[in-house]
Amino acid sequence: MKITAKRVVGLLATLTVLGSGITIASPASAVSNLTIWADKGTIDTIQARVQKWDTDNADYTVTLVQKDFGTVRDALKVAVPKGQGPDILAGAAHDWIGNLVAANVLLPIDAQLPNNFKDDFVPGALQAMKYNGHYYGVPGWTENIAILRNVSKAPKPLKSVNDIKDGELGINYSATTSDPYHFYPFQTMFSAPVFTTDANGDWTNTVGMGGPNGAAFAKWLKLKGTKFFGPPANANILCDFLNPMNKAKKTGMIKYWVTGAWNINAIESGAGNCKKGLQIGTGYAIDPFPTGPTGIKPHQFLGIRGYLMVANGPGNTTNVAGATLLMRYMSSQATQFALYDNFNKTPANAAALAQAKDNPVIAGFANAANTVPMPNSPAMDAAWTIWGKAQTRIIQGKEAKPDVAWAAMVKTLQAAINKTN
Amino acid sequence: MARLLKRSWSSETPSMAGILWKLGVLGVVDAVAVTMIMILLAQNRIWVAVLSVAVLLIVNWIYLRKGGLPAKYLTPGVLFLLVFQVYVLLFSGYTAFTNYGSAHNGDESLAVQTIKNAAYRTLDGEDYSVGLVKSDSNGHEALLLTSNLDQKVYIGEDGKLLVQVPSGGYTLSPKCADPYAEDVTTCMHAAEKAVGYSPVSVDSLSPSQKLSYASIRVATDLANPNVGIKTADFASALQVQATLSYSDKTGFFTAIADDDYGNYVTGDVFKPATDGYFHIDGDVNKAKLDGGWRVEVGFANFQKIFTDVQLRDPLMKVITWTFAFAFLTVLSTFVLGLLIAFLFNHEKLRGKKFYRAIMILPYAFPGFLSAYVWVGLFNRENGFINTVILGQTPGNEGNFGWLLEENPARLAVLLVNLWLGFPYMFLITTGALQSIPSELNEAAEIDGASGWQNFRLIKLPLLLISIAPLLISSFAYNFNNFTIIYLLTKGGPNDSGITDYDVGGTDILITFVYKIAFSGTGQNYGLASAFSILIFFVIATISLISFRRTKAFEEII
Repeated sequence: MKITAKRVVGLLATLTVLGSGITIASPASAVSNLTIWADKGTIDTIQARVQKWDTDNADYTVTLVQKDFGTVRDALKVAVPKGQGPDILAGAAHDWIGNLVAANVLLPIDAQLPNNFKDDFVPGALQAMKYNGHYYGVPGWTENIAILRNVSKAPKPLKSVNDIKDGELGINYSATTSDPYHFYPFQTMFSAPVFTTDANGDWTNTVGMGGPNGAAFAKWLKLKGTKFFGPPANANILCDFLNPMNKAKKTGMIKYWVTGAWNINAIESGAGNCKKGLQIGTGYAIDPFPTGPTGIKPHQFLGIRGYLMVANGPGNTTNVAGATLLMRYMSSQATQFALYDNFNKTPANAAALAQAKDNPVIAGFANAANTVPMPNSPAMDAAWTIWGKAQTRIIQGKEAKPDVAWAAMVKTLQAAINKTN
Repeated sequence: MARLLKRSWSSETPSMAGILWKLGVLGVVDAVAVTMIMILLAQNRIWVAVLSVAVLLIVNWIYLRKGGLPAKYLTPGVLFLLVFQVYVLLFSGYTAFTNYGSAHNGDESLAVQTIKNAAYRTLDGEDYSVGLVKSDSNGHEALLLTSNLDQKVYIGEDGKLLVQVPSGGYTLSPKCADPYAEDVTTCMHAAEKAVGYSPVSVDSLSPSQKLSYASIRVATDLANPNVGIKTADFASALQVQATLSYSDKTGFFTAIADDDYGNYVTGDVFKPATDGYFHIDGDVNKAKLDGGWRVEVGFANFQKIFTDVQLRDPLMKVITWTFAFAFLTVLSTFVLGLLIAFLFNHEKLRGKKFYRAIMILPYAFPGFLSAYVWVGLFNRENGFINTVILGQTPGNEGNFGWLLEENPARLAVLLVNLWLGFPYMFLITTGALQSIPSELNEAAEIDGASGWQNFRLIKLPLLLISIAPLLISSFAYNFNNFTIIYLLTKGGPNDSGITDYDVGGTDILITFVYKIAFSGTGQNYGLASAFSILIFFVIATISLISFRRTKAFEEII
């Protein structure tokens, strides 16, 4: 290549532009760093308290990173092997734990849980964060369903499920995969728990909803069918619950609604063309579930959103001391009460819950709670689908022999669970 | 004139503006690339950085040298082809031969670390609040422990028993042991100083010193070296018992305590097995430890596709439906598009421009938008189709369940795809029809051919010569038409055949593979990649055969 003036100019110009692309290396930090991943809803909830802790502890810097709730688990599974994960995963649903442990993502925190700390929590809350004998995080806030009652249509709380007439119950479930979470109280009325429990009260890996109890439940589901439970994916439950009964037009028939705290706002403010909303006490009440057809008191699932400790990569670079301190702060009575006060989250800290019970909604759901934590084994994702598919088919009357179909479902579910363990 | 043209197109004398543009664009690309390379180096990804530097130098050489015009045109396209097609293909191909998935998402060292992290259990009983101290006499690191039970104070050094510090020999910290205790008047205080020991602040420690304090094991039973009191967060200490020990030399785990769940007993040795887990004696049939890693499994994924009964039965149904779906879609859209194109070919039809504009609309709307609208239209209780077109009662669950039953859902999917696809066929057949010379029409009429004969024997074969490749590509596209199936039915109403795998009535191969890869108990990227390779071969074969056969059309004329 001949060296010409043009070529030299060209080369110089290119190199100049090249040079402007050189970035400055990031400065090394002297303080201890903590990274938290959380979805948007969780960040909105915990941000103020986390920033307060950050300011109070000058030797720590906390970075809150926003992730999408649906995909944060997959993001973790990819980032952790590369050592690029966070120290804490906040706002995690506790039934994610088994799946995440199997993917080498979580770090046990048993050694950081002295008895006086464990005793701070409501019973069952910390237990939900346990998998295979190890604790992997601390609970943040809890949620459970209850049975809501329109006081003007039904002045007295239910004693037995037999007192509910067809069409009076509203419950959300999908036409394809039902909603075993919402139907669980009915299932426990027949003593058919999803898994058996061991001596410590922890879930085992043996499916417990088979046998004669499960068959009885399946038969009852078919008997009651969509006449009792309503159609699947019913978008009118809210209005039918709020509006007064109109037997001629067959609207407003729903007296009882199986749902959780997430619908309270809609109930209290009314929505769209429903009549205006109801207020707690005078308009609606939050009741515990009635006893079953044979008098058994049912359980419902306790859902916990909490803080999990992430094992950061093969070099194990998680900042354990800092993360534990922050977790203790977020579990303290003051913080948990603040989260309730500002964001209506039911505290997992027992002392904070006692303070929060002044709020009738929180008190209502807490008093209705006869809860068991949702199982957190890695197979739960598929379990919901397998369980729900059979359930919705039976409810919609698509199974001539419900007990046979239910037994087949139990067999499939057990096989799926055995495969992942 | 020719000389002027030669001068402006020749690469001998480019204009100044041209040179500046080229240098500007090249400069920006170089700047971005250099930034990227610096970031890669900072993250220690050496090989990718070296590769990027090599590519950068080649690109610069191509564009700065004289001549070599073809390379200058082809480089961007080839680069993108390599990155987005070739690399993806090779990576999928490699993954198909591994067991990469959510339970095997890293290498063995990650699994070893995970197992080590959980290789202990805490023992019930007394626990302690911790202060870090250093011995004044010999500089040894030690833990100053205050019992949470009875507030007695002890010194614990590595490997030695607890030594109680008598009252008066220690000072309590003014702060609460629980930094977030509600009531500071009644909270417990931990000891922070003891005679003969100086406190050490956690912030002043280097990472290796922190590790050193975290590995102090205060003995509780001198005869048992696997039990002791340890602290992991320098705030609390509990009694822990080690359950597994790892040998760096052999790479095995040995059980030094019995398992709580009865899975193993003291003395069992866990060795890495071929399935990417640690099993007792490396035997895949014996108990394993939680924590797997990615291993190459050879053709196991492919074998599974053909031999796993849980997989094979739904797979057959899905393959049949995929072929049927693609074929019926192409057939129905082609027939409808052709019919309308014929209609429009008639000179006497008025308002052609208006009709044409409306006909193109389904094609113009994004499929994502249309699919969701159609889901609403097909709603059983209140959808437009049931209530208005079929005249059924709104709100009645006895209405036709379009997306809720298997065969109606398939019909619905085909209808939507017909609606979305016929404008495309209409456009291309219009073009093809107009390219048929009108003399052929006149010749056919003279020869006495009827309208249908004219169409079947003259127009159709000529059409197919130009359209056939497009029909084949439409078939290949609809074979993998993930969007419409997933948005409309997410794979369709789940059938009664309950299997481990989440498969529904309208699942085509690609949505089935997507569900295997990304949903369910454990994402199984290895199996999904094996499927993808198979799908690739199926489509490649069909396309190759079809293209060969279309050459046969040219023989007819």
